[in-house]
Amino acid sequence: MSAGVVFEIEKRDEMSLLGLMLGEVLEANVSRPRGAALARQLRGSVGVRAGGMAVTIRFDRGRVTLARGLDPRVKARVKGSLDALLQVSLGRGAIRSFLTGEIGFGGNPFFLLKVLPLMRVGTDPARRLL
Amino acid sequence: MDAERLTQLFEAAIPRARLSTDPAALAGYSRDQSECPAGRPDIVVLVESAEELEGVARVAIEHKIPLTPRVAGTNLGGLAIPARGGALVDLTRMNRILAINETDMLAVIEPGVTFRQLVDELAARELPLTIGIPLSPPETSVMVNCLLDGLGNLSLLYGSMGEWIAGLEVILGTGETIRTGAWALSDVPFSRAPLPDLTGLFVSWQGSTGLVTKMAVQLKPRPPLRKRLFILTYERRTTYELMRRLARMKLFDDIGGLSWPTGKMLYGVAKPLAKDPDEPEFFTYLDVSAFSPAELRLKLETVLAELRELRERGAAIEDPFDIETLCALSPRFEKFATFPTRLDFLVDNPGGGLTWVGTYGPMSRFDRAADLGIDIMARHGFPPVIVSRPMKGGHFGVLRFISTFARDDAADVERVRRCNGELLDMVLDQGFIPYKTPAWAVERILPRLWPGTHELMRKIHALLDPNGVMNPGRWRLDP
Repeated sequence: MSAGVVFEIEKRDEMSLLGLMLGEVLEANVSRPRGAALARQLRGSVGVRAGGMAVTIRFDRGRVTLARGLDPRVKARVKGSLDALLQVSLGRGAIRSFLTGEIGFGGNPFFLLKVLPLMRVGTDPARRLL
Repeated sequence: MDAERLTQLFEAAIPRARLSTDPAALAGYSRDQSECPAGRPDIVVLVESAEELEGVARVAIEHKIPLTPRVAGTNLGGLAIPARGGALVDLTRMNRILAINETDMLAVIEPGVTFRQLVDELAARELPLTIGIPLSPPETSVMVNCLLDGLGNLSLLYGSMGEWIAGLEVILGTGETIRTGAWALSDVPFSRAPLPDLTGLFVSWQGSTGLVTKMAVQLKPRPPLRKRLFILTYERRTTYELMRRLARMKLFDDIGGLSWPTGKMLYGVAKPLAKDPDEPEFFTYLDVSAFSPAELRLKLETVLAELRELRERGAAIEDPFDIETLCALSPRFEKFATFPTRLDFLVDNPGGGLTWVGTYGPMSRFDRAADLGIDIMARHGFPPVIVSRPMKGGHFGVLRFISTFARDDAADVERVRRCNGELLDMVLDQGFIPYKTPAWAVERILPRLWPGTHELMRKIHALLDPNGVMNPGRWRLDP
């Protein structure tokens, strides 16, 4: 339980390193009041593929679940090398990575823009949205 | 011999306050983290100087009391567990750095000097020198790692740590004190050469040929610029191909491959048995150092070019990322950032037990041995934690199969014993040889050893330790 948001990694013992890394960042963000507020507004899922690994993050109004593999029904997708995605998570050169194609995205870009701040390290996601 | 009599005897060499026969104290020295059987000493002798150690040896030789030397006790082979009772010689207080010679790149140290201590001392003196640092805890003894021919983070360039020894001062089982290497003639222990090399009589002999009081060890230059990269590879074969290619370039300080369960354990998964089919097989780290930005750039470009070439041939490899990125992402990675380090997810695991079959062997057979080892570990229900590192420019490598277990659960101990036994037979079949060899492994090795080799070892042992007091029970050398 994180400030009213439930965060869970499905089958944690079998989760890939990408999922464990991303899970730690997500959990930290949704444990902060503004991140939790954002998570409670979201409904839908995002697929993340980094290198050969893939995970799906599902948001269901206050419940955030991270699962192995790419769910074909996701609202938005983001893919790139693990390094490129880690850099985005650290807030380094995100726009450039998207513009140069280092990181690709698909689906609903507005939903992705809402979710991305929750995937960033050490930031207050809501503040970044303002 | 009863406790009071032992105390009286050793009191001739050591103040009574540093002798203990207290059962609780003795129990603390009777086991290590491994599955090796416990063995209680009859007395613990806390030594503070070479002179005291000579006195202890005199008493032991005269009364035929076994001596088991110990510093941190972090080895995973029961090597500091008394096999025949007697005196446990605790050397942690013999921890003086006697000299550091910057020009000749040498340190002269006592047995109790730890990696943390030596690294801190070099830093305090602002010397651009370093020692090869293992992945064992910071309180591990530098001397013991050298004498047991372990490895460090510069073994790719300079070989196993036994090779770093420039000279030794040793109390033999006869009571004589000798010096090896150039130190036998020169006041500067600059090298093992050019006199007949006697240092080998004390390397990997596990204390059975003498008690080392001082060691001259080589230090190596520490370039000011450093990068630690992580490269994820999706197949074992690619990992080993990459290691072999990078190792022989002699451009890098260290290359190590950690198998997939390691990353999960870092994130708190205690027993990761199932691998996500899409996740990388190995996390390969690469240490690069340089004296100038241009040199660093060249080395990094070389890595990238190698990765490109392997990818063009179909290998699945991620772009490298540096340790700073990982640490920024999660503080968990800080334990991989600077050495010495404590890999708490292994050392401090909930069950408390930690063991390995750790071997040196031909890199040409890494792929096969790793395949077979993973099958064995899976069959026994252990996550396939493998560490692979090329050494000495890729002439050979280290291949380790590491298991955590519940130390106080007899069934789990038995399971890990069976697993290690099978792993040992497999690696021996593949031409690998365990280092820091536990007694149980020696029993399986001896029947395979070249005829005459063990007999010569016994003759040497009989010459250097005629009373059989020096860490008996090692290499089955006792008459």
